[in-house]
Amino acid sequence: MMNRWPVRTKIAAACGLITSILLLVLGVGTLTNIHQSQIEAADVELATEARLIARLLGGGGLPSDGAEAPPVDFEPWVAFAVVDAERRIRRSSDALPFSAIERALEEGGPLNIEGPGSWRVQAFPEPPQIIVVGYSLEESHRHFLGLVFAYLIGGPLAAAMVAFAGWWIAGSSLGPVRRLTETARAIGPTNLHHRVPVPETGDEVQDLASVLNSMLTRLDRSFQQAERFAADASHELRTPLTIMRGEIEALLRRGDLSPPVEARLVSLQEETQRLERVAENLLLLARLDSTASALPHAENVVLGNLAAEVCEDGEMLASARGVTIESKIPEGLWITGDPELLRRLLLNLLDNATKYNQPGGKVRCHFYERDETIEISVANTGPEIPAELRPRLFDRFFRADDSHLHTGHGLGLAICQEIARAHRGEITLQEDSPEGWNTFRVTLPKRLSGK
Amino acid sequence: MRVLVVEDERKVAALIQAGLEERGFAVSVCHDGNEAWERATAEPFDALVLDIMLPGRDGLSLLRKLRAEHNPVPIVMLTARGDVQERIEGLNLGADDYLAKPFSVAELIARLRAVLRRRDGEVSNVLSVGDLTVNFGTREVKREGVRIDLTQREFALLECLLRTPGSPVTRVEISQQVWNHQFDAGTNFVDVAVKRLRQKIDDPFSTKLIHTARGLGYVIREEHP
Repeated sequence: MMNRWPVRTKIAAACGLITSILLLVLGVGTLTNIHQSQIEAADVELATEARLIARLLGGGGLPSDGAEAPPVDFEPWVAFAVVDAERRIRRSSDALPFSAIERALEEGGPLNIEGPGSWRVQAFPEPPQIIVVGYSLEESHRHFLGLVFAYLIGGPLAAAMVAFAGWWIAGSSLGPVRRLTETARAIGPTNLHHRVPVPETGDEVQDLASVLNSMLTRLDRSFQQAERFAADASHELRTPLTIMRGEIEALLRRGDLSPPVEARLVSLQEETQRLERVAENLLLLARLDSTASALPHAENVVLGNLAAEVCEDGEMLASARGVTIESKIPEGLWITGDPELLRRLLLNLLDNATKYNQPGGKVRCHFYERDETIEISVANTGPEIPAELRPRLFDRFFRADDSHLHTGHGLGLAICQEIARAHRGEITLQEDSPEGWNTFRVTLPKRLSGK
Repeated sequence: MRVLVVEDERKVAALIQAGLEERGFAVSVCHDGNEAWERATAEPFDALVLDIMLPGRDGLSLLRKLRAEHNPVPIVMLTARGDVQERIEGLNLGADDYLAKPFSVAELIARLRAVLRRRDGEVSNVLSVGDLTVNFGTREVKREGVRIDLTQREFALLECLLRTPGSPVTRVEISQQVWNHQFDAGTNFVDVAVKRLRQKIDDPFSTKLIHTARGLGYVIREEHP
């Protein structure tokens, strides 16, 4: 899931995470260290105090009961008790709790005693007596807690700040990349001459932009070449085709040829016609490719009339192939588009629907008016198109049966698709169509946006 | 009728010339735009067949120049491009008709005749074969005075046959001229279309006009030889 985060978020998260880990390690280390030093300092203090008390009490044992102890002026966080061999407390400052003294006498120390108060205590045997010294840890604990508190608040804050800084820096350095992406996204086959802006930053982004631009230049050139090639080729084919056609017609017109020669000429004429169709369709495709964004001859077309005409041709095609055709065209259909191209689109579909059908088969051509679109469905009872062929159906020069049984040249559906696209519509082969008919569905917007 | 054919492809020019001469036109040919300009202004032609792509001066600029000098000679443009834009441009500049390559010579001649008829103000757009009369202006078709309703396609098919009455038209020519060979229907498609036309034109009448030219195509004529 993290893989799908934007780079900016990733960088921010990484910054925050790394800072958190560092601060945690650092914090734990520092606090442990501080705690340790506090204890050590306390122990040093205990020993010092013990020596001081011993000296004050005089080298030769305890003063007698009731004798005034020499004045001992202690810091408030130090407490002590002097215990004799029978473990009787001979003298003590009030602060040190009795339980602390007892545990110090038992264990020696230094050790930590909790409650009441927090103490570090140690027993120092100074025969014949034992001096127990306590060091109040209250103050150190307060300091320590203060530090922990500071770390708990400061750590996340610092991590958040670093994360934000990472987010901001990543954002500002990715900004040019994002703009690059947006421009590049807007470049399609129709505006390949556009280039992405090259920021004068001297960094990787500038590099990327210029590499992208040179790639676009190459792409543009090869697109243009491909387009021009198709257009030029079909132009160049027209002249020899005119000559061939004319020569054949001139020969046929002489009327003095033997029937076999005539039959061969007619066959030649049919092949010439096929060549003409291929050339014409290639040119049409080239033209549709180059003007994919604009229909130069778009007008308001009364689709009903056009469809009725095409269906008349369709019926003739159908009856020539022993197929029946049923059409349903609602009244008052209109659309904005190129009438010649729309005619071609419908005719190609009907041609296919009758051609790839079976004897006695049926074709159904229905027009539906929707709010913003017109939907045309052309269905036939031909053999089902195998699933593996479906994605390639609209490819150029694709044939469903790979035999040359049919006279098509495999450009029909490719042309349909390009015409639909030029009208900002689409053509699809309907999946799970009712009754298992092969159903092509064309959806065309009534109006071309931007017109 | 004198026709100047301006076409740089010599073979195409020769084909047009042969076809036109066969039908009684006097034909001059030139292959270059500048030469065409000199001849068209110096000699009186009844019509021009003008290719668009020419060396020297291209067809459209020649057309523009002729019309700028108020030369009314009827002009049929030829081009290798089926581009609608170019066709519109040519017609706007004053061409009388337009034919895209590859075209059939028969079609060119039919267009040329139509253009000449129009120039002569010939209102009689009526052609007849036997008792069949076809008015191309009103698109009215009659046999023995009985009006026959034809669909657009049927009319176009009849027109195609009538372009060369008496000589056969091949199926390929029919499909090219009537349907602009928009689909790979194969030739029996034409047979179906002709059968439908016959049902209206011939079947109700005793004399048949549309005949099958075996192996070739169809012919319209008054009597079977």
